[in-house]
Amino acid sequence: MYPHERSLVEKLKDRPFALIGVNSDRDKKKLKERMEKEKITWRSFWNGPKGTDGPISKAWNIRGWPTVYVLDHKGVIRHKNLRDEKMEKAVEELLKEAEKAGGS
Amino acid sequence: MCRWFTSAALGLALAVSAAADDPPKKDEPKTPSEKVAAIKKEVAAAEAAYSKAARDLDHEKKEDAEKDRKLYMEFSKKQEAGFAAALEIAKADPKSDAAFAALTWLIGTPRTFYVPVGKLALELAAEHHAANPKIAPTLKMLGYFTPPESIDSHQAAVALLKAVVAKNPNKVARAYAAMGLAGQAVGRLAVAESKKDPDADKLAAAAETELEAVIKDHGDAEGSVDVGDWAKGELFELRNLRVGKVAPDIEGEDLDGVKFKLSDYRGKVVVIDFWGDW
Repeated sequence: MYPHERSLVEKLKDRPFALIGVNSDRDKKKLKERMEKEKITWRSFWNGPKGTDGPISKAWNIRGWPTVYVLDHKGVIRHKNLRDEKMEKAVEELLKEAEKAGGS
Repeated sequence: MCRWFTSAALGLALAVSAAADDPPKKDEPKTPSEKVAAIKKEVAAAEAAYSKAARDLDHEKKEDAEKDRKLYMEFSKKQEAGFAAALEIAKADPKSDAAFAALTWLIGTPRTFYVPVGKLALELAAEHHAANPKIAPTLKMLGYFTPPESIDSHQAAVALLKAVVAKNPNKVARAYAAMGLAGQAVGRLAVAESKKDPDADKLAAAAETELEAVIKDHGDAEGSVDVGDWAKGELFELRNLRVGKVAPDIEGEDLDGVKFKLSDYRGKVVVIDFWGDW
């Protein structure tokens, strides 16, 4: 996951795009060391000390990790659990919609 | 505790009498219940032995991968022989406690759902043990891992779940069975959505109705899995997290403790990744 996400974030840095994580690790300190090593620069919500039983994943009824949602610029859920090239293609299409709407 | 002590004492007595014999004989299980226990023990030991042997192999090496395959086949053979023997005991006297032990073991091992034994075990359990209150733990498993429609044992599993909802005096067992049935409706919707089936909205409405009924009829069952909570989570997902819905907002803190909201990113295409570094 990481290398693909890294390249996606890098590639889309000048476009209306954000990768937002919801992280379910219990140990934040250890996680930060790992993030530094893996160059994970994108922002994540922290799901809290209960890990996978935390409030955000519970509210979203998450049962498997990783789970991925793709939202358009209006906040509408457009895809679930797309991976790699398929996800990238879907994001590209939504970016075109967003850029058209934003007039950029 | 008491039963454990008795069987331990019995084992000791058998060991002593066996030691007195010449040549020494193995402790042969005698009653059907003892036979079921022995089968379970043997299969568990074979599985542990396989896991241990597989751990010591280097799966990158071709000859080790081949060895692993052979070891697994050996274990699998033993396991299937155990399944078949347990089913025979159940068939011989299907209402008995021994049959109950054999059937709950078979149903509690999801691998059986992919071989003919599983279907037969589910059918026998539906016919003879749907009203047994002790079936609750088995139903918890079956409620979570109900074999889907693509698998042969699906119908038999659904029949057992329905029989338990209708007949079982144990509220928790009924709740788990109802969870399994409503889970089928949720599963059908997931399949339809992945195929972009135009009937998905209808299936979503049907699943909503079933989940609402689970909350109303089984929401207060006090099992180790909170069935009401499960159904509420599924219902929320159906109503708010399907493709086409505006995503619910998330308010929280980032990993530096800084508060932010998902809606701060409105205007951008957002990928939300529920992740963990494990």
